[in-house]
Amino acid sequence: MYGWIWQHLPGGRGVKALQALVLVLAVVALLLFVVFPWVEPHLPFNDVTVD
Amino acid sequence: MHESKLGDAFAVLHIPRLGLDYERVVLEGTQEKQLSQGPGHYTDTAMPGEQGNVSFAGHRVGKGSPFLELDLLVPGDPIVVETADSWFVYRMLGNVATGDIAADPSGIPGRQIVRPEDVEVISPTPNGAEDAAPTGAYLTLTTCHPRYSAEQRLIIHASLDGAAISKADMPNGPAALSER
Repeated sequence: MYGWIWQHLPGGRGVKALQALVLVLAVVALLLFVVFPWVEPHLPFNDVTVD
Repeated sequence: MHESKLGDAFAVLHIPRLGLDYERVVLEGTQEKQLSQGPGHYTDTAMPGEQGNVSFAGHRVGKGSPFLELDLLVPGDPIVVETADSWFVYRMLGNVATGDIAADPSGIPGRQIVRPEDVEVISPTPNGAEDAAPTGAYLTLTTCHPRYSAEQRLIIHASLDGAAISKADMPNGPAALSER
């Protein structure tokens, strides 16, 4: 998968590396700001009350 | 007498056993909105110092993990509640001499593990009927058990030790704050 991405990024090596870095950061941001906050309330250890 | 509104920060909880610097602001209410910020006060339970059962819930894992180490408390340990004008010293129930958490003269254990639906733990008298008059001034802490699970609840019960201490008389707090 990473090979396929690398081949399809335009430009020389330096430009490719920069674009790859941006892609990695985008994935990390998506996980931290969207996916994890969405998943977290559904995890079992949040139930701390008796009801 | 019960004036705090949902979401209001109205008390500071001190548990010296968990560190002399252990202090957590308690909010009114036990919805996720409050609990994500710190321990929350069950809205229909007593207020600090009152007859009845002051009950707080708190996260054990995540959100600052205020109640992560509640299982380290032993009978007689002070749990100090600070309000705008007073200090209240509660002490964990159980047999202080032997350390037996179940053997309190009141019949109420200092610590118990219950099912999530066992709401009697926050009754006016812990483990009594929900609508019965209280037999004393109690404090109850609830969190999840075991860690990382919602299977059960870890419960700590304490009772008020002495009268309210005015902050005007003792601005730095009672001696119990440095007891561990």
